[in-house]
Amino acid sequence: MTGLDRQKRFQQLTHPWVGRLYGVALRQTSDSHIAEDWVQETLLRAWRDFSQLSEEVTIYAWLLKVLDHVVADDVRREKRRHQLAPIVTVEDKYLIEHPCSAPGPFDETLKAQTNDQLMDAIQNLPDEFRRAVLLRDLEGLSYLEVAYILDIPKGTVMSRLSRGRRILAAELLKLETREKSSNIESLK
Amino acid sequence: MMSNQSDNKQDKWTELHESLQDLLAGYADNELDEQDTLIIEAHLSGCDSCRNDLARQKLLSERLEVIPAQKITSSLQQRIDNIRLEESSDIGDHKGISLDKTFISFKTWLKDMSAQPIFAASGWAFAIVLAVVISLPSVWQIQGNRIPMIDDAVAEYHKMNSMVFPAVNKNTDIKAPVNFPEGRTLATWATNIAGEPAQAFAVRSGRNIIFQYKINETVLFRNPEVRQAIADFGNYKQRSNKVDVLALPLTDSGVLVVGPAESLPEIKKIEF
Repeated sequence: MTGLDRQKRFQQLTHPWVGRLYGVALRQTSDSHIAEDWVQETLLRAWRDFSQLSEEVTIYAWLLKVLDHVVADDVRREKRRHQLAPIVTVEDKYLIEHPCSAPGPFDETLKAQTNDQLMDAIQNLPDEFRRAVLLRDLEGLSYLEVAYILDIPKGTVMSRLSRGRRILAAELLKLETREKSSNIESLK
Repeated sequence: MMSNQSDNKQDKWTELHESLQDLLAGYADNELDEQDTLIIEAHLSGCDSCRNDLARQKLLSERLEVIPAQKITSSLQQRIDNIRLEESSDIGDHKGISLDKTFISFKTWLKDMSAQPIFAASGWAFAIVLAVVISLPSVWQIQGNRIPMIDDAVAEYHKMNSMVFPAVNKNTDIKAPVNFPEGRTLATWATNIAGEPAQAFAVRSGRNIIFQYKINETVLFRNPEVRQAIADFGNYKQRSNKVDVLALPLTDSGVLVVGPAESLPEIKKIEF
């Protein structure tokens, strides 16, 4: 394959996924310029490593893996490396005692929160949980694909999702409590 | 003695309860094997905390799933279009991200993907696009924003549709980019779509004449709406002024299929 053919092949394969890549990038930063930089860098790195792309992997999963490295190199390394991952059990105080923790009221809590509030809560998750939740629950990838992108076993994806969603649920319940308190304050 | 046995039983239950908490997401997402599923179900029947946690996980996952992704910006598209891909001097050199070590075997991949939707259907991107084309229903866009390639194709279709084409193609070498049952290519000519050279084909399909325009991929992917639709559904469809237009990606180019409303063949019957 000539150089020009390779370029055309690369562009043909990656073009349809650029929009979705940008969506994923923007879920990890509130700055659209940074998200654009990440996508551009992702494509440049993907081009650099294009010869290593195997038919055994889908192009989108491969691009997401490259994007994950780009984001890691840019921010995660310094900002989040030493963050300790909390272990949240199903007996967490908020999950047991909060009046909205039962499935019905929790559903109402979720419906009352805006997409932006939910995205903020996800942004505040510890990194390892945030990435798993992002890829599975927002991007809809399978556990196997998430495992491939994050370079972790499938069982680890499962435990990170279990804990990540639990932390997220507890945080959303806390947010609900704060909002209710501030509403009461404003009525006084 | 009885008390010791009871304590032991409680300890074992607590141990199991703690270890199963990490599997609840897998149960919620239908990602557990049969054995783990049975264990979880047995535990759930007697554990309120885990049942509630499971319900919250499902609700949360469903809520997050419907948060829409941001669409690509025009500034990013411009930046992407302006990227100059230089031939890498270290092709074969694994200085960058080492991908080959982490590739999963194709058989395992397919096996585990079998229950997954479109995205997981195949290994290579173009195969994905084809799979998506075949298996996902896309939606007709009623003409909104002007898309130059569509405008050009439709304008030429209106201009040329009144022409009389031969009943059969005498030149058997003419082959349209996409084929469908009972479609017969009648004629071909060079034309211009969105400022770029293109090749047009007239194809008879029943009583209708359907035009196909083979265009280059830059033209096909230039519009963000078209790009997004191809990424999501494998094709882009637009209905305007009683004319349907279908845009499809080919291996190294694209094709626009233009014909009277509701006359285009079903996607699954198209070969390309």
